Amino acid sequence: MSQYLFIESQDPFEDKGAEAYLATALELSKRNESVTVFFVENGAHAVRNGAQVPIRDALHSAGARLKVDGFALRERGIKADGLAAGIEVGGVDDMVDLLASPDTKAIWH
Amino acid sequence: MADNATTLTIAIMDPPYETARVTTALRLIEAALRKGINVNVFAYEGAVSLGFTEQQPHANPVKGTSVEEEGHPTPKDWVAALGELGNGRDGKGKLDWVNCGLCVDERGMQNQATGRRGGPQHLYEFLQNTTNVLVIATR
Repeated sequence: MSQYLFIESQDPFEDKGAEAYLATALELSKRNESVTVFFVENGAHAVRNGAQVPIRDALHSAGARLKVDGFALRERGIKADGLAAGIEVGGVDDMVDLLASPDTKAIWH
Repeated sequence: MADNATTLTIAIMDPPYETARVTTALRLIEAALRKGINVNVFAYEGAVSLGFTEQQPHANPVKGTSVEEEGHPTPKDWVAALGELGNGRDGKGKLDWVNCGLCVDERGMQNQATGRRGGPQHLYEFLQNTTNVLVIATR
């Protein structure tokens, strides 16, 4: 079964392309596809509790798995206990594990 | 540890010193090699500057520290370290790093810390023999 890995490296408050990119992930989630969104680099700004990112919340509601790179959190001083609902903290090891599956379709933004 | 037939192909075009994408790419490559996953890298455009051996660390005149005190790492050292890590020994994956030859020539970056010279045909070969592909696109 295919799974989709969306790696979001852009800050959604700076790059409106992030919302369009994540909209694709949302549509796949609504079709019951297996979707993981991995926030890295400035994409980590999207996962703070209190950050107004409706598409993030919609992805959570639609059943997408939402992960953030702990390295990106530490670099930006974002505490792991201050994250929005549904966000899991992971790392590049987790991304590699997903990429190591031939069933994963990975897209970087 | 991954099955030794598992191979990832990563395409990157960012130069050093400009974006976090380089850091993330190098972290991914390192993590995969440590898991015993083979990694193909196709470095093109500015990314051929990552392993350029003539990079020099610098002192920090703001803090008044010398080159030695500053201990400033350069991307070429990271790329060289990945080349060493990716020798396929001790259960680690093998790294095959190809620098786009045209991009190298344009930039005068012939001296490289690791890898080999190649072209689109090598990327094509990578794509025929890989478990997965990640294209780290610029904005």
